[in-house]
Amino acid sequence: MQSVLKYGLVLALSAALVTGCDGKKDAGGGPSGGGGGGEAPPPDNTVEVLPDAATAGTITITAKLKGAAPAMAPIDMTDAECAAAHVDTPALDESVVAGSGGTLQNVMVWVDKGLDAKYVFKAPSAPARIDQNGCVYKPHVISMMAKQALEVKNSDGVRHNIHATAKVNAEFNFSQDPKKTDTLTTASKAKTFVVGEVPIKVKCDVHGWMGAWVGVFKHPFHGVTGGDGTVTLKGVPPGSYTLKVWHEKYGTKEVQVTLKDKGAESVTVEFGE
Amino acid sequence: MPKPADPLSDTLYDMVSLNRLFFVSSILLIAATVWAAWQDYDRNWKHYQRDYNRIALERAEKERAAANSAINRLKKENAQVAELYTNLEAAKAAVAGRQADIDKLNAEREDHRGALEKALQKFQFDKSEADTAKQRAESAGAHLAEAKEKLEKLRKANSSDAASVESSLKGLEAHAADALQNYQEWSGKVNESKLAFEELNAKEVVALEAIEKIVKTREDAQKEVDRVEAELILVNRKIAKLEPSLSKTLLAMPGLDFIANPEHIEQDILPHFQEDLNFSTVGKIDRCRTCHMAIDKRGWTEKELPAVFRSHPNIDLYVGDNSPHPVSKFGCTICHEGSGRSVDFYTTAHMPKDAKQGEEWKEKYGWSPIHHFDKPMLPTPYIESSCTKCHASQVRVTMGEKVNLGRQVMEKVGCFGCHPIAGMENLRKVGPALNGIRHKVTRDWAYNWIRKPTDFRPTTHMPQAFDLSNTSDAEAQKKNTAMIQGIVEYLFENSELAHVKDAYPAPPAGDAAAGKKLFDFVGCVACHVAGDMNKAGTQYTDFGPNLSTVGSKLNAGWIFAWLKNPAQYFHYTSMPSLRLADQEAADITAFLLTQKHPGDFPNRKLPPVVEADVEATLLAFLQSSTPTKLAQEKVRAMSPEERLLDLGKRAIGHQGCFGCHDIKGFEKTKKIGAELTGSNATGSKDITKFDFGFRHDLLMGHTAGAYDRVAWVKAKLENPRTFDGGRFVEYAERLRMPKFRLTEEERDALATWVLSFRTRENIPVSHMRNLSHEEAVVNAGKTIVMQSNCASCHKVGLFPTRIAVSEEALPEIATARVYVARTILSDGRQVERVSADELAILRKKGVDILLPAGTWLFPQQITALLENQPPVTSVLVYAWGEAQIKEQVGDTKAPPFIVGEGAKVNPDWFFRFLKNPTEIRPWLADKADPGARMPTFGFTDDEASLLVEHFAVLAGEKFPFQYDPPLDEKVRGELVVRGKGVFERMECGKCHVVEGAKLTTDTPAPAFALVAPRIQKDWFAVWLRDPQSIAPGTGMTAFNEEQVKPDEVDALREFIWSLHKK
Repeated sequence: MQSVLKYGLVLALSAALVTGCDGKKDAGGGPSGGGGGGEAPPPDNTVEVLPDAATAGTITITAKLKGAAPAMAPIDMTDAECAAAHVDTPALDESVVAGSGGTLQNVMVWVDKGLDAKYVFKAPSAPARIDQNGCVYKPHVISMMAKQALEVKNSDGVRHNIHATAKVNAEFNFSQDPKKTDTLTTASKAKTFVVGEVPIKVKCDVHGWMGAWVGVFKHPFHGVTGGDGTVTLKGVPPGSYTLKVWHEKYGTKEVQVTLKDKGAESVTVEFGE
Repeated sequence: MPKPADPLSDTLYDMVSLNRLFFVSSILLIAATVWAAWQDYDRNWKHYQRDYNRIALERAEKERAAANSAINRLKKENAQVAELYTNLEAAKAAVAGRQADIDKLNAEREDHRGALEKALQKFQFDKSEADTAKQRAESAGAHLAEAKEKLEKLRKANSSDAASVESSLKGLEAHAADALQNYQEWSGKVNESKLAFEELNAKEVVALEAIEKIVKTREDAQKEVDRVEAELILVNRKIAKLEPSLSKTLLAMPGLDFIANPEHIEQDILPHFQEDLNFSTVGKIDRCRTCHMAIDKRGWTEKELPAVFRSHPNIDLYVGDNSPHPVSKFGCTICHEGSGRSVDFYTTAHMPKDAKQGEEWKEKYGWSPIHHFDKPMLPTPYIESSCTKCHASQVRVTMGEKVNLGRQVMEKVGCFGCHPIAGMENLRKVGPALNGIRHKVTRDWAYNWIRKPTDFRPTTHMPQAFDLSNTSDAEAQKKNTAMIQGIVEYLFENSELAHVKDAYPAPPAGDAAAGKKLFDFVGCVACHVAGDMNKAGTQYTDFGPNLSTVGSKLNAGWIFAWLKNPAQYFHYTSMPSLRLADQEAADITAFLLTQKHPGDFPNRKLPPVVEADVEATLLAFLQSSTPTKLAQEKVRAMSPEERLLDLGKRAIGHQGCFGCHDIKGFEKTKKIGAELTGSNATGSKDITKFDFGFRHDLLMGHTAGAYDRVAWVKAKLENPRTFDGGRFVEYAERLRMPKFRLTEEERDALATWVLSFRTRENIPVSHMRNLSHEEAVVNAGKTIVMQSNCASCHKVGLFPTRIAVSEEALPEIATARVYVARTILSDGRQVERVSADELAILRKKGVDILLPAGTWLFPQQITALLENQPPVTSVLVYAWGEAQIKEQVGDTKAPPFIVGEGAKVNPDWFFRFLKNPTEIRPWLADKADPGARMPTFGFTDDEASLLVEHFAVLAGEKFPFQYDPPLDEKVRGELVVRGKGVFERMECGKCHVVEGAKLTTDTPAPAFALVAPRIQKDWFAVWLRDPQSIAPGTGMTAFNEEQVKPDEVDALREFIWSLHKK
């Protein structure tokens, strides 16, 4: 009788132990919003094989635009709440954004060929971010690593849907309540991108003008040009590479770069007709 | 030389020389007997079996080595296995050692146990003490409160009892304080003892886990060892079977081989299939596996292996016990043909796949084509022609790519117009009706078109009937000209339409640019190519003719009338009505008129009629049926116009134009070609009945008399007049099959299909591919889907749900053709079959179907899959311009997916929609982008209901009725009110059209007023939660459980359903 009681207690306690564990999982869990309802992502057990930091160098790409940049057209926002966010200065169409000194912004750059297959990279723990702010995606172009979490923020007071029209990765399209942030992981219901794919158009079906572009890569050597039209890829192991340089309107170009030990190469790519 | 006979002897012969003769001949007789016995014993197949045994033994030895090395590896990697393996004693010791560990742990546990029990007891005692203390403290507190209250009352009443109560109160207070302290003390103790117990208990748990772990690792290692050992035992058994031994040698010896010869003929006895054997019908016996010993074994695929010992290349589909065609049930020759009873390379009637292989075989095996045997084996490239023996009930044979293509080509080019073909009797004629041709084209155009169709439209299916290899000499060309002139004359003179007086009236003025836009968007490009006359479209866009040159052919009035109502001109045309407004039709007309032929074709004229040629040609035809004199008189009696007209009629009858076109006066004329099926079916009729003419190059292996059926069919398709080569034949008697524009691949496929026409074999019903009711419905529906080219606009895809392809799986899938034998769920489980209900439940649980059972993934589908994840077979992608392709996924203007349509819409709505499409997506028609339009196909009631059932079956739905119990009005009313709240909170009206509300989005979604009659109620929940799984790319967004709570779904649905106005 006593032993029954005892084991019963042991069982009850160990059960409590287990559920305690589960509770923890829930507490630290994934996003709860439109894309959410998922579990915590499984720990990334990838064994990294990283390039030797002592010999790695940098590649700087400057995107230039031939001639004058076309004027950015104001967006006609048919949604009153969206329009209200741009009463003073109208939102502009960001398909071509000039940088300082005849350069071009929002150009995505990545190492396409030449990277030794032995390297294995883990996705950074910090998520890639995209914000819906004033019914415009900020930033307009982002590059991220496969399996990296993607934080989708809705800063607006209106409902958006975020629709990634991926063709290799799984497409997602979920409704996001106003003022809400969802983090997409490999385990959330709407999954982050898990395979390299470029470009992926992201859009809002409610607001036809809203569009952003995402590039997903297997390695960390990618980036998007900023206000000065440049982007620097850091920690690149020495070698000969084919870089791809992409702009949503002007298309894709290729450049060859040979990087020496601790080298620092600069390349300029010119877009335009 | 025998000596001359001794004259003194009694006999006339010489004994000595005779003895010699007898001696020699007896030696010869013995030798011949031995030789005969050896010949009988040393059969060719035995050599194959010995070779096979040798190779199989080598392979088994390799397997044994692999198993041994696996064990060694396991030993190295796993000390426990090593322990088990070193020897029995060591193993025992190891187990004992492990056991000692366990015992030690158990002993430790025993030690603990006393403490644990004590701790538990203490904890329990302390707890009961604490409980008592608690109770006491509580009751003391209660007494105190009661006393205080009493005191208060007494004081108010100024009672004298107050003092005594007050004094007793002090005692009570002290008691309460004591009790409280006591309780607190005990509480502390309980906590302590609880802690102590928990600590000990944790140790217990750790110890138990440790023991479990030891036991488990031991068990795991044991399991692995057992597995490898079992494998080893199997391999050893295999080796023992294969290894040569004295007993085997003895048993195989001549004279003893009747007992239990290890070398024996392997036969599959197939009593269900009958074959003719010397005038009697007996059950089929296939002995192919006597030599092809590895045919049913997996993994015999190395290139170095002799071909005879390779596994069947498609063992999942054929031969294997678990395949749909196990060799024990179907044998080999039911597909391959040949002589199944023979066990010799020559007499089995092997056939090389091409001339090159024939040469190789000649050298290697001394092969020559077999004579006087009706059914030599089918060369492997044409093997699919056997599929239809059992699969005749299917419109398309699963996996029969080639035979399916052949059938498709035949349906496209219309061989059945001239040749009677069983099973293709009810197909529509492939060409347009010509009884209104006068109102459509000019005589000049018609003449030059008939003369050489490809000059005007390089991609046409209209064959060329004149100026071919047997009619291109100068004399024949004159006659050709007369013939075509006659045909044109006859067609134009017999062209009358009830609805047209002289000519179609001119259409309203149109805008070609607007027409181009309409042409690109409204749906024309789904079936037609424009802009480049040489461009061959896809299977879908080639459905209708290439329109790049029609501006040089048609007149505006005809185009306009045709666009408005195709069936008025040609009542069974495939061209549907797009319900174009007058202006739209006028715009498209204007655009089509800009599509001019770039060459000299538009300038080509109808040449002047040469009377003499007409007369001569007519005479040539008349002479073949009438005495020459009579014929001449007949011709002379006619006027030139009559002659031309009569020649035209005869030419049409001679060439069989009416096989593809409706022509007045030929409504009941019999088909002109030879029947390809029936008793003289092309695939089985006696090879000597084929006319090979002088094409000696078509003999098999250059052997005289060895005629090759396949070569004949292919030669005929390549040049239908080839067998007239080198002959002198009268013009009217020459071969007349026209020449079709076919690619090499198409000809090959068509030959496969034609070779499938054979005399009916007696296949038992049990062995036929019998269709269930559902399958028959799907089959029949598919025919309509194909004939209406639905797949050009709609994804009618093979994949009902998303297929998740992991990056790791990509290369594997990309190289293989995958057959999914069991449904694979995204959580890795495999199940037999998932019903629609189960699927809905699974989806709710977040489980997708990864691949549905019975799916074949072909390389091109896999490519499409990889390029378009989520899975899209991308039929639409072919049909639209490049700009549309880029935006395909997520293009809300594209025609909808009709995957799972049967589960989505109500059957009665679907039926009415198919009969008379109504607008569901009004935004598809704005001015800037007219959008695609569901055409009116003019389905008959039968066709429309068949289609509805087809989609219901595909979606796993019950058809046609599903009872939907009505809701209590009060309950419904409450739900509607609640649903309205959800509706407003989720802003559904922001995208969906709601009557009376203003839209605030650029991409509006279907109107809610149309939902109730159209959508099935139980479909709504799945759609709300995961629309992309039903329609990849849709603009509809997913709403999760937080946004629309599970108990709000029904309310939302009832509200939306309430928006329908009756």
